[in-house]
Amino acid sequence: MTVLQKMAWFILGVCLLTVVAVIACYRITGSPARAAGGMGVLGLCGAQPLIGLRRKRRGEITMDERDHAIWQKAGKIAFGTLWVAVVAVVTAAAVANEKAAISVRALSDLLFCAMWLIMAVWSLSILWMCRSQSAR
Amino acid sequence: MPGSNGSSNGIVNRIRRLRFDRDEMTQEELARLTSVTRQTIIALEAGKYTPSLDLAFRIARAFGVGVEDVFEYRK
Repeated sequence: MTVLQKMAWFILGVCLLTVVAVIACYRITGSPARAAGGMGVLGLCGAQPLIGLRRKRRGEITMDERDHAIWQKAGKIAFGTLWVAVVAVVTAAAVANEKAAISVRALSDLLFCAMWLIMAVWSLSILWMCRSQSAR
Repeated sequence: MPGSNGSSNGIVNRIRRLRFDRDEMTQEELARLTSVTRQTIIALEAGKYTPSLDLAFRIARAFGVGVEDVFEYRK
């Protein structure tokens, strides 16, 4: 497994853990607003650069040109998906709400969901592309 | 090109053949010589990835041959 695949699995794991944390917070507090605090688990994605650090110290190749190409392509897919999803949600909100007023709470939830979506799609795209290119 | 592996964009390579001609050089060894991961060598041999010009030259140099001896454009 390459470092890129490990990174993708790590991000995917964090995304799943975030869902579990949000559900658990909702079960415990009974408040959707407080349940959004579970989204804080997404902060673990910041530990992603630590993956492959040991290999790097040993002087091994951690990411090559193919990994970078996959990384960029997956980023484009994730950004495209995010763009479509955000436009759809904002349009739906504008149509449903005549005053076009969005609460600060809804805005922060939208931001968290957008972050979750981009990380999840990014990691899934990486795993899918790595798998399709390594067919023996 | 005998013993070649093709890709969808018409570029075929003889990396696997050349590896076996060089005392059955392992994918790991070739990866180390060309500063890429073994998965990239696997993808190249399977014709699933087309290398950059830089990597193509590094692979050719690792085998001690010219680029045209490793890669061929068929279209």
